[in-house]
Amino acid sequence: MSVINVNNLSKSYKIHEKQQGVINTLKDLFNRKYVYKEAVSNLTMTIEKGEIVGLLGENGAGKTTTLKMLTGILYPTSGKVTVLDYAPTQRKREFLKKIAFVMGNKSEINWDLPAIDTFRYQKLLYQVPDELYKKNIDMLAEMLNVKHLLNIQLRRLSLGERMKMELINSFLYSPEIVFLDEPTIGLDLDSQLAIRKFLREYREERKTTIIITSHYMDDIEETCDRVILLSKGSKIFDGAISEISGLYSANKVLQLVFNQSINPHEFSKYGEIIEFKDNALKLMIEKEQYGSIVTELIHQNKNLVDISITNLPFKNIVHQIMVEGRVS
Amino acid sequence: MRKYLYSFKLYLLASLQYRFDTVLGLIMSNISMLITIFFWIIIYRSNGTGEINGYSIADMITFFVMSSLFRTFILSSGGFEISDMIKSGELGKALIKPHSISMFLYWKHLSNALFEFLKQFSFLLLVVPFFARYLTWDLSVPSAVLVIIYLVTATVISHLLWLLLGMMAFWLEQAQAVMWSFAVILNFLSGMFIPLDFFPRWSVRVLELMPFAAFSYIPAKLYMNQLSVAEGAYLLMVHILWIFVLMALNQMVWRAGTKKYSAVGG
Repeated sequence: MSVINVNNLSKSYKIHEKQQGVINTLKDLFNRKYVYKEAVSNLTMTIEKGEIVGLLGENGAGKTTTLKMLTGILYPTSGKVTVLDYAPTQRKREFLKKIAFVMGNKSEINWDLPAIDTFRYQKLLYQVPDELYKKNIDMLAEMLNVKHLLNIQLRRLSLGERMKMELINSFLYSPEIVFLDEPTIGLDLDSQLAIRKFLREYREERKTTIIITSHYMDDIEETCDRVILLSKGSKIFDGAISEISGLYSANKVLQLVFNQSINPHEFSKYGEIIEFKDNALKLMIEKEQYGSIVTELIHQNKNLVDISITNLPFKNIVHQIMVEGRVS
Repeated sequence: MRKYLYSFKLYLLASLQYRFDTVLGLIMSNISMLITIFFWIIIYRSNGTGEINGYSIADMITFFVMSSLFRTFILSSGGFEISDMIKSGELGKALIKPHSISMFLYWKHLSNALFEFLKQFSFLLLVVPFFARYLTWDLSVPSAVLVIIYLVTATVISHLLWLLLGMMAFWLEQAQAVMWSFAVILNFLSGMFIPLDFFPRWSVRVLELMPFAAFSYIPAKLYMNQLSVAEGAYLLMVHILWIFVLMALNQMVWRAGTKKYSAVGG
């Protein structure tokens, strides 16, 4: 059963183009130039119940704009959106009670009060029955390991702890769809791991549909079933995580470690340099040439101390697709 | 309704967290009232007459002391908050909650207003002994009831008016200048600088029918027994009518505004 249907969705913003300098600024007061920026163009997608989907793309690719249209914050310029059979922009109360939108860079919880006070407010706002409220708070606080922090003024908590509170705040009314915009932004590894684990476990338990945007590829790789890649407002890839890993399978990553400094450019004839640091070089090479390249390297470089070969990591594949702007 | 009352309580608790801020704010906000009162005492003394425009010195001081108390019920912060929310993109968060933003802001700022009122009241208890001989104290029960109804009406009218102004941010991006100018006009038209019956006779009637009069002029006059209960009740109907007019306007502007809203940032 599909819970989100998006058809030819577009959104363009009208932006006032400001000129440099005092005189031009004064001129601008009378004669403004406007440019139209296409934030999302002709996006079509369907998301099924219980899926965890990652929305990926560079800054300004249209990820957040898409989420805002799905939740009814923004009116689309053209196209059609239905979420749980509602038109989001009508902002019907029944609809709003079924969705949650967590923004990693914006706090929902009152800073001056303990989180539990905000949760009680949320309970009233979303009319959560007492029984369910207690059960959900217990379960969520347990899963995120913050039970002992519920009664502490929010400003005294760390960034990671605060984010966990934001998650509880959004999940406590058992929404059917949760939109997460950069949920792990600025968090330490420990908190990132905890949040990823939480999202996976929660979905298993409740079959909630989750849509995530993140710049941390690990977030996406470890939590999502499926990814949608956006570039300059258009969709360039839509498929399972395993499908992404299958792309560029003709390529491998060769890691070489030397015992003295080298000039990395001498090796660019073998393949593309992905990384060079502390005498360790990572090259993307074609799988078929692996044998011949390695033989040649061993013969010609006496200072080569280690060779290893791995598959192309998820983030490099995504990066490659972004750079090319399409899936080759 | 319960959700709004709960948020009312939450904000009341939050505002109690800062004691120093409370005391300092109280002194600062009253400086202008004290200056006005001293100003009028000097005028009456130097003039040598007991009455100006039908106001004895006691009337005048009572008028300003009461105004300083009643003005705490003017809810303007909701308007400033909505304009900030629009400008910063914070409105997005509020839009996706199953509540009315206008109601939410009303209760939030009403809790602030009540807190302000209590502060102002205790401040006056400290200061009033110095002015006690100037003040008039003859409030009848019906007038008192009417004053309270007026204050409640004032909270609603002022909230709706300021929201309307705040929502200009949908189109202007920077609505603060308009709002501050409006604040000055509002203070003037609600009789906070000078009682409205100092204006020409024909205009007093018009000003009494304007929504601003409910903020401090009419309740102060009722308190002073210079406005009959019958007349106050008649004017109240007009002010309640204003609530409906403003609600309709708010609804229209809100629809058009959210359609245009572009939710900047993040």
